[in-house]
Amino acid sequence: MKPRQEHPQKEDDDLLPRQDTTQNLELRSKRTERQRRKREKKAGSLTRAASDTQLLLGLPVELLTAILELLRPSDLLALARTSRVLHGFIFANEADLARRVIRLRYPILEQCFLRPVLMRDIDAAIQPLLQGSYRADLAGIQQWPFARISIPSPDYALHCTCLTCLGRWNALCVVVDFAHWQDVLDNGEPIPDIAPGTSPKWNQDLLARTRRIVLAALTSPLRYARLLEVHLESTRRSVLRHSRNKTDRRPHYRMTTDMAETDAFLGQKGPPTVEFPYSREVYYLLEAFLPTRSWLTSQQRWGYIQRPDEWHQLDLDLLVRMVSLNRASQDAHVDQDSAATEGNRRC
Amino acid sequence: MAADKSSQRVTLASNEGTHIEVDRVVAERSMLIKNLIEDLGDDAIESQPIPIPNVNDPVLRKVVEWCEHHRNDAQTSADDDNDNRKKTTDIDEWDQKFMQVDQEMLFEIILAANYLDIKALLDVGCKTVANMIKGKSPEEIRKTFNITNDFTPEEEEQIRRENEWAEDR
Repeated sequence: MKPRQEHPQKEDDDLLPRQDTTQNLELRSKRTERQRRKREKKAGSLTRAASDTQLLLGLPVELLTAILELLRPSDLLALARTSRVLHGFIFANEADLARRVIRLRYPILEQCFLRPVLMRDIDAAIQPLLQGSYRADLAGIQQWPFARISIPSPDYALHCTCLTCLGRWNALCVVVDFAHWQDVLDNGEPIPDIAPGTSPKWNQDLLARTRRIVLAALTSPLRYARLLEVHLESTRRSVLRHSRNKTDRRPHYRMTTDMAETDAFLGQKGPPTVEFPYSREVYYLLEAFLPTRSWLTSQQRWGYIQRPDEWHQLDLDLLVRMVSLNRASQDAHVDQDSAATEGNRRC
Repeated sequence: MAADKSSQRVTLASNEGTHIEVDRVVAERSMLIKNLIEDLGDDAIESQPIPIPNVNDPVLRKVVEWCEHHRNDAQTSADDDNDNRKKTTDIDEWDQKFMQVDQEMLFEIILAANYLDIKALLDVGCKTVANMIKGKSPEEIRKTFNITNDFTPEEEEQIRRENEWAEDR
């Protein structure tokens, strides 16, 4: 057997300072390779995520606005739900964005569906008159049969209820109610009947929902624009429904698919749109409800109410005069009663 | 003497210093360049490149490609612009294909179109982004633009309540 060779320098090596010459083991396996790729992909997507978000939000305000004004109100509301920054931007610029979107898409509907004037914009001296007991006359209007069924009561504290503003409120409520029944109408199903003097729970819920939606639209320009978007969609569906019905020989609005993005097709000559749907039964035949406009034959165009704010102001002036007359009349009665009492005492 | 405008060539210099030579009519799709040429005079542009300091080479080439394709389009007036915008988010087929680029390039094109004052290209860019948002749910929009949902569950619920009916389509 060959003797084991002794290392001659072994003892000297032990005396020398040691140098670490070891290296990290290089891990090589399918698993480590998969993990590495996963890490790289994750890091890459994170960087990309940061940059993509910055791309949209990093645009100058005027460019971001130029993009957002091309969207429908429903798209803007969906976008506002994506993150705090976008929510903040959209609602901080809500009035401007809604104005641009309406100008582009719903300039006709805007003229037909004005919002009631908010109470905060009315002279403080007149505000109590709009909420006082003499509003019972208008409350009576709200008790009309059709109103009890599809029009919820207005908010007397939030907005004006002069006759002009009440008409606006009713029209906006019809927008929401008419939209609710579109699927039923498209499917040719009957709208459920409500027996006179009854108020089923489902209709109470529907009225409450309509009220919430319209009230929200009174203070939020974007939600108001959404109402116009919905009414354009209801009108589009309604026009299609009636145009396809061969037994319906009435004249219809001409509409192609690309027209339905805006309300421009409602600017052409078509059937009258002013009739108020006083009952849900009217929905079956209703094609386009655009109140406060009429066709001017001599000019071959639609005419809209001019200076609508003046009508509201006229109504307020009338209310003030009416209240003054009532008070004067009551004072006269009181004077007569006092005189009569005094006369009786003397006798 | 300066050459006939229709046959004249101009050189554009990107912010990286690269040069792109194009017909003058193509370059003049940009109102910025058109005004610059009018200010500098024909002779000046023949002897030196026009610097485009805010636009890099790939984006400038892409913008030039668009201008080449639309070289014969009439310049839009303010009224025409309004009419075009009435079509909301409709985009010409060639432009749709042209805009099939990654998001970084898309936003760079929008910024370049804005800087170079090419209204029609800016319009196409904005419509392309708007179409990427249109009809999508908040979650789908987040996915498209890699937006992080930083709402708390309570905030989300609150916003959902406020938006009752508002997003139904």
